[in-house]
This record gives sequence, C-alpha cells and structure tokens, in this order.
Amino acid sequence: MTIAQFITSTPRRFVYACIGTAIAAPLLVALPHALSSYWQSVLVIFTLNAIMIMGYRLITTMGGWSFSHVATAGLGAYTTAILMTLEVPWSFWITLFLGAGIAGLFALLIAYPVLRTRHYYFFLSTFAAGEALRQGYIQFKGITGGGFGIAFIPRPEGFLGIDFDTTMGFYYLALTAALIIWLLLYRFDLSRLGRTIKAVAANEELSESIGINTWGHRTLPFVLGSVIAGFAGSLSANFNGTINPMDFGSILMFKLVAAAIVGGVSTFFGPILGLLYLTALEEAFRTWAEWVPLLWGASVIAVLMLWSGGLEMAVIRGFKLLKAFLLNRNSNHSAKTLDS
Amino acid sequence: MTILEVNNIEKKFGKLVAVKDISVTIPEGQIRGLIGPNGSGKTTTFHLISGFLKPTSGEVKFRGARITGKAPHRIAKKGLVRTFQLTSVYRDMSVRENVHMGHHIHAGRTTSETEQNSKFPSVSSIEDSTSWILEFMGLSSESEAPARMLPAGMQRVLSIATALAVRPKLLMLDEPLAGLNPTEKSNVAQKISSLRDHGITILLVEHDVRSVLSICDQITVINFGEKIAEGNADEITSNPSVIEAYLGKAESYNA
Repeated sequence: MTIAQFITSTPRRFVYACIGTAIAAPLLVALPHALSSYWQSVLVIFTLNAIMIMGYRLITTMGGWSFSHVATAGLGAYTTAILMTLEVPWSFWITLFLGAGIAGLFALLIAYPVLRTRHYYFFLSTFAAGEALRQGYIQFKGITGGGFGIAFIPRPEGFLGIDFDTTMGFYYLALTAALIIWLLLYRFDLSRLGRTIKAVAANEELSESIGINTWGHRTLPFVLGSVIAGFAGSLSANFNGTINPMDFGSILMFKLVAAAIVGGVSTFFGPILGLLYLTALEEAFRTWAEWVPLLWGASVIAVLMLWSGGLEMAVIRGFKLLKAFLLNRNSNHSAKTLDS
Repeated sequence: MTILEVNNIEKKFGKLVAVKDISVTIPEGQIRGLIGPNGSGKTTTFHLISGFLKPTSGEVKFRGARITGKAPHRIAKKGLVRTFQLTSVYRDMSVRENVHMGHHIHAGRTTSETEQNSKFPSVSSIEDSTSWILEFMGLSSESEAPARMLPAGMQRVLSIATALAVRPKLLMLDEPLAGLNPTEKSNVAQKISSLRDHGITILLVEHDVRSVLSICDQITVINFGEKIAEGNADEITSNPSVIEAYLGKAESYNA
C-alpha cells in the first residue's frame, strides 16, 4: 500500500479528527500552566476518566451497558499496585500493559456467560460479575491488602525531561495516553469492523443470517473496552499512589453510566461531553458535596425525560442551525448583490 | 441435483414434540413451498434447517455436506441464507447501507475465493454489486431513504435484497407475503419467481395458500410437526388429508 492509497482509504472524518487533535494538542499541553495545583489534579483525574469512558463507549456500541467496567479497571490498578510495591519492583510500563491485558483476559472469561444475556439482564449479570471481582479485592487480603488496599505505589521514572512525580508531568503522561487511545478508538469506530459491530447491535438475528459471526462481534468490543479500562485503572493507581476496593465501586461506575446517558452514546464525543458536564457540576458544588449525587441523578432523569439523545444531540442540532444560518446569510448576500 | 436434504429431523422442547421425523429433499432450481396450519411446526423446521435451532435428532445436508448444529453464520457462508417472518432490516441504515451490509462475507475477499453463480454478477466490487441488486429488486429510487421509512412491502423486498447480497444458492423465505396488500403481494411473488430464473433455489414458508399454489413448483405440507403430503399444486389441493388438516372439512371446501 502506498502512502497515497493509505490517505485516500482513510475516512475523511478521521483525517479531520487528526487535524483537530494536532490543533488542540498544544492548547491541552499549555492548559495546566494556567491552573492551580488543585485544578491540575482535577484535570488529570478527568483525563483518566475520559480514557475509561472511551473504553466504555466502545462496549456500548455492541448494544450492552456493562456495569463491571470499573471493577475491571481495578484489575489494571491492582496489577500495577502489587507488582510495583514488590521488594524488587517491576517497571511501571510493563505493569501498565500487563494490567490492561489481565483486564482483557477477565472480560474474555466472563464474556461467555454474560454475553448470553441481553438488555437489563446484561446490566445485572455484569453488575454481579463486577461486584464478585470487587469482593475478591477485599477478601484476598494476602495479595490485595483487603479493605485497606495498597499504598506507596511509586510513579514511573521520568524521561524527556518530564518528571512524572509532579502533577503536571503526570498530566502529560495521561494526556499522551488519552490522545493515542482517542485516535485509535475513533479510527476503529469508523472502520468496517466498527460499523459491523453496530449492525450486530441493531439487529442480531439479521446479522447472523447474513453470515456475520455475531458472537465474535459482541465479544471483541467487550474485551477491547475492558483492556482500555485496565489501562486507565493502572494509570490512576499510579497517579493516586494508593488504591483500595472503594475506588472501584459503584460510585465511579454510576458516574460513567450517568455520563454516557447525559452525553449520549451515538457519537464518539457524547460520553466525554457527559463526563465534562458531570465533572463541572461536581466542581461547581464542591462546597456542597452532599448535593452532587442528587444533582447527577436529577441530570440523568432530566435528560431521559426531556432530551433523549443527550448533550451530543444538542451539539449536533446547534451545528446544524449554525450551518443553516451561515448558508442562509450567504444566499441572502448573493441575492442582494444580484439586486444591485 | 439435490441442494438440500433433510433427514428425519426432530425437535423437542421439553416434552412437547414440535417437529417429528420430517424429511424433505429439494432439487436445485426449484421454488418449494412449506405450508401448514398455525402451530404446525413450519417456522421451527425453518429454524432447524438454518441453524437458529439445533435438532434433537436427525441431520441436514446442504450440497452434500452435513450442516446440522452449525452456527447460522457458518451456514450462511456456505450459501444457505434465510429471511425472517417479521420484517427484518437495519432500521436506521439507508436502503443502500442495508444491502451493502449484506455483503459482509465478501468484504476483503477476492472473487476467486467466493464461488460464483453464473446468472448473478460476481462480487468484484461491493459498490457495483449493491447497485445491481438495488436495481434488480426495484429499490434504486429509494436507495438513500432510511429503511424504517419504507412501507411494509418495500421493507420485505429490502430484506430479500440484503439476503441476495450474500449470494445464496438456497434462499429460505419465512412468510414473505404476510401482511402485504394485494399489489405488494404480486410484486414480491414476481420477484421470487425471477430469483428462481436467476438460478437461486427457494424454500418458502407461507400462510397465504393461494399465492403458494401459484408460485411454488412443489409444496410440502406439514401438520402437528409431521409431513402429511408433498406434490405440485393440483396434487396438494386434491389430497384429502391436506384438505382436512389445512383447508377445512371436505364438504365445506367443495361447497
């Protein structure tokens, strides 16, 4: 394949995405310089959650809303935490990929039972699987530290002059990971494979009857999404320096599901938009923290009742209106020039 | 040459015997009808042949090879494709995208790898093949419309068009005429006949006896999960057990 062929075979939207990323990257790199250390931490956590939710959105494309995503991310986190706190600590980079692999392997193992279920049952069976896994983190005290978890997880060695011990340095690590994962997953979403996965979700029987291996096309996004979760979990264990089973419980899981509902999942950016909204709400009500879950819940209900399709649809509608307005103005303009 | 051979298949759901010892042989190039009263086991038989259900016993052979118990997508790849009783399309895709998706098994393959049916153009390019099928099935003018916007009859035609994209040797249609108005019925029936003329063998389950009699070369009648008769339209309509089982009592039929 020549470079020219590669470029023409690449979907146009992906080319735009690459250009957009190239423009946004310097801004994202400059962003933490304008922020206090508190907001830098918020930014890092948001970036790690964004990686997590990109994996979650991949799973939703096969039609199932998993509730084991955060517990699965815990596998990545525990892998990093355990191996990096050994007497002879492992390299962070090895534990990062190993943790992601273990999360993927777990997804593959539970895929056989849980992917036999659909809709609410899928939600419930993944909830059970996730909770069982989380109980495992509590019960196997010898390895996981039980309810107290594991502390003193070191940050990785810096390179290229970036010190990962600082929040800003770690932000660059998280940002790089997020941008790479975003481009890979967005390309995947636009690919034939991505479209086939969505076709299977839209009509499983029909897909099977035209020769699509529906089992495989449901398992693949579930496993890949879990790999991404493991990746994010491993990074977050490293950022926080300490983990315990509460980190991988239903609060974060609910946040992801709420973000997916509020943002919508039909576009790639929907869940990230939802996450941005929930995080903004959380920070705005920081001094009244007890109100935050209530506000999240109210947002979910409001979107479901008033605005099904979520924030992404509002953005799309906004763009359409803007486009129509601009086109209209242009045609008015040309009409005027014709008159004169 | 025989394209499909069903030998003594049986399906039990717990204690209920849904299909009991049915054997059917279909020669290549035929339109075969499968009829029977409500709950007689037609659709179950259909599921057993296409792999959506596994038979309790018996075997299904397609072009000489045993396909019993294989996954439906594997059976489809061999050239046995079925449609569904209720209209089954990708509702949110356009008509063209639906047919395009039907080419799934041909994507990334070269033509020499897929066996070709001489009367159908080969899938050298999925775009060309999609256009050809849309034209052939009379869907060209609607090609950009979302599938959910089409009237029921057109959606039925679209589900057949999508199945054609797989390049079936045997196409199984589950009640293709149900719920259509008379104009739509004759249109779909005409398409089915022309598919046979293009070298595709057809097995159809139908409730509408009149259209079955007019388009099928041979008809198999089942009742209570058992085969009770087989033959052409005349033989079937004059068969007393068919009349009794399906068309009502002999007296009322003659009256």
